[in-house]
Amino acid sequence: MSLEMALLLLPGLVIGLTVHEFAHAWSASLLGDDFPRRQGRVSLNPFRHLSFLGTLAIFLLPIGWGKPVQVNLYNFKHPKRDYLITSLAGPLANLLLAGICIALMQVTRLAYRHALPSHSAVIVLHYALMLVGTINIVLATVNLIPIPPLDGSKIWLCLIPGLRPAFGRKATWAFMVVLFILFSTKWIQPLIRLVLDNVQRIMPRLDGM
Amino acid sequence: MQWIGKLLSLPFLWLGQLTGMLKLPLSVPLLRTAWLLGGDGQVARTTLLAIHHRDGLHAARVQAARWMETSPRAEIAVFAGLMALGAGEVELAEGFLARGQGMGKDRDGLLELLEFGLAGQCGATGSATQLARRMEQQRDLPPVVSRVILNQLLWDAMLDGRHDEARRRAEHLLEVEDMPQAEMALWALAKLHGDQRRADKHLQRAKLASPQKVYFQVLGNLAIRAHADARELLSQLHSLDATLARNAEDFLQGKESLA
Repeated sequence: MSLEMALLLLPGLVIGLTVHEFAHAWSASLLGDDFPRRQGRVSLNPFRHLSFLGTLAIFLLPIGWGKPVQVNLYNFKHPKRDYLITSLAGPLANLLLAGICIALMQVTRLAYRHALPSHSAVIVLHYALMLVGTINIVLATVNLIPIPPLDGSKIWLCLIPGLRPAFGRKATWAFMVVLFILFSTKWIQPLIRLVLDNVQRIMPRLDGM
Repeated sequence: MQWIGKLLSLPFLWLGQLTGMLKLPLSVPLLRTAWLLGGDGQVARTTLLAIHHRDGLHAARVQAARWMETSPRAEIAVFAGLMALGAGEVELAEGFLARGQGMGKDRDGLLELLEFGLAGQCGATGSATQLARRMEQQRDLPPVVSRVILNQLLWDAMLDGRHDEARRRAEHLLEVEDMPQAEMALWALAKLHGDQRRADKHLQRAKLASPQKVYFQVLGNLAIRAHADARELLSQLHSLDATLARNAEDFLQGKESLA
């Protein structure tokens, strides 16, 4: 991936990853686990959430990831149910952020159509929102892949009877290699392409563009 | 100004972590630079661990003591305290715990691990249980500390005859992860109720080394007042692990004197 492309994606990814990790930490805190709060993760400060490999990956792969939020399942009243909610909170926060971007794009579209048709700032803002929204939908989708340490793997552990949520902590390194191969060899491209095609359909467009 | 230092420290921290993962000696100076720039206690602890790996335990302990003089942090106090506790220097560890507690909470929640380790080291099971009860109310502990204190409370309930509470605790622990000690508690409770099939299932699930397994069988038998079975297993434990056997014998004598 070119440096220009990486720099273009960087703000959206940083926003998306921060909101994603914050949502995990905040939902855990609401469900009775204050360990993420103690670790300073109930915060929208990106530096609390960015990891070296995850940030480096933004420049090498088309995706990045944050520092995983460590949750103490023993603090949950219903460990499986609450871990499921906490795991889903990250991707849902990305989808919510994408929804907000789409709503704001309706505003920029109206502004472009009726008030400021030649104002380049409106156009830039519209496309910035489109980029952030798209990145967040991709982040949510990728995170639902059931391979550790992605959230999808935790969700399945909570849904399949007989499995224990902490089961997935082991062998994460092996899965990281699988994920790296998946992303670097572009085997994941068809999934991302499918998401992007559908996202483009729902994104509000500026008239004549 | 502080955030500028933290920002500048990030590349050094990340490169230090990467070289550390690759076990390169370069990780120590990189992490040390990150710690000096950012002043983050967690980075100091990471640096001390890297020094431990590269130069050994003594070098890490000397460095921790030096940093406790020049730029003390709760995380450094925890590291120094746990190392002292591991070396059997209880008074020194207590000193580090007191200093660490004076600096507020460490973000990793390991101050509590040191505190609980010290309570256990003092030999008084009662004080460890009391501390565990207090810590159970805390919602900001790391999993490693919760696991230890909940296990302590489980076996306290077992040996105290509060079997319903013990079952609830064991089941809660097993909802989260494989926990051999909880399986052993459920084994004893199944045995108490004459459910041999269930008891065998729990015994099979408890993945423990042989001496530990026999140790918990002794404790389990004590908890359900099967003292004869406990004595029989105790003689077996003597041949496997003398320290564990002494520990179990203390419990057995305590129980028998109460009876």
